[in-house]
Amino acid sequence: MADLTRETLEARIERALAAFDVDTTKLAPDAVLEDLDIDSLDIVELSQILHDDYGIDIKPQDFQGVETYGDALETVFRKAGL
Amino acid sequence: MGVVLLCPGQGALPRDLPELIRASGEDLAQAYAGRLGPDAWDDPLADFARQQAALVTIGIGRGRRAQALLSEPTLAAEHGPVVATAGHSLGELVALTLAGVLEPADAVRLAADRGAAFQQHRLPVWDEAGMLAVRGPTVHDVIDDLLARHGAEYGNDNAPDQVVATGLRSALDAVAVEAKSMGLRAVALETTGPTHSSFMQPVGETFRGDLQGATFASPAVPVYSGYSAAQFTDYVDELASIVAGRVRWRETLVAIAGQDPAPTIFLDIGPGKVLANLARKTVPDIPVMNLDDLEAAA
Repeated sequence: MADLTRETLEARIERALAAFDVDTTKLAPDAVLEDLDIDSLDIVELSQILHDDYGIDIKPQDFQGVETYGDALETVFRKAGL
Repeated sequence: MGVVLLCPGQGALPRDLPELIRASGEDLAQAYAGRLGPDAWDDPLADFARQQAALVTIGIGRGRRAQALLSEPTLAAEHGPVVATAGHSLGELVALTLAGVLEPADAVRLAADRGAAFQQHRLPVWDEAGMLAVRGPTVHDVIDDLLARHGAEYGNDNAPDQVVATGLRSALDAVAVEAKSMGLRAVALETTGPTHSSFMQPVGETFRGDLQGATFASPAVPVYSGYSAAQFTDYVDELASIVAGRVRWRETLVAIAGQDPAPTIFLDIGPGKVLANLARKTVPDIPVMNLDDLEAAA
């Protein structure tokens, strides 16, 4: 998508996480995924959503070693070429 | 006081498998190369035999690291000894090794045999089949009916809010649609096939033959079986049957938590934190750690 921006992606991710019952008021760059109650299946589902909605070729393995929300966002941005 | 070692199976495959195999220990790396060839390290994802043996190799290496850390005086005083082990699916070979039932090299060989059986019996229909995680607080109330009506099977009972269905993708898609209409979440998993479904029966039977040639020693600590959700009583039958049978992981953790005396820590040896997360949801009163936490505390 030519007009895809970091802001659009971040908003979509927040919407997905809200649907996963994650407390989005706690989303912050240094928030630890585990503390946010985001687990590996959430990551699988999120990867599928980003692929379906934006055609981003991202796999759960791309998030290996990612501990914080900020790192997760950067991983998505990188895979989206942003 | 005591620690339960939880040994993962084939969840998300780590990216750095060759490095992890090498880091598992010389004897394990040699067992891996001995069974699969000296170049098998370089491409552990090339086939099911390499893949499953790699995961067991890495698991045993990490489990031994955990055992070594837990024997250091400070951590030993804090956490106590290992009092039980359990593995999720393929991870059962790791759990049995850490309890002294299998020799490490035998476990690596059996994992390769198990993977080879997958390869041998792989059918084109596997391309149209897979697994589906279904999640939500009410999943256990509805899953049996959902699976029966759509012709899917029960692959894993993972947690109070998570089961994994297995079978033909057409059936899983129908389960997903209806589950979502009930407010549940459903997500297709990348797997090597419809694992733990009846499609796997020939695989399980070939693996049964491999297991019959193996030597099983008495366990140093109780080892729990995901097939029976109790301590192993028949290694060959339970390890072979679970290939085409349900992984009763939630019930297994509940059974372990009911040991007398109850364990004080569940330790997910990883890689990853999948089993730690499942334990946290299933037995919330018992603290959960992973190997990284233990390393940090050492």
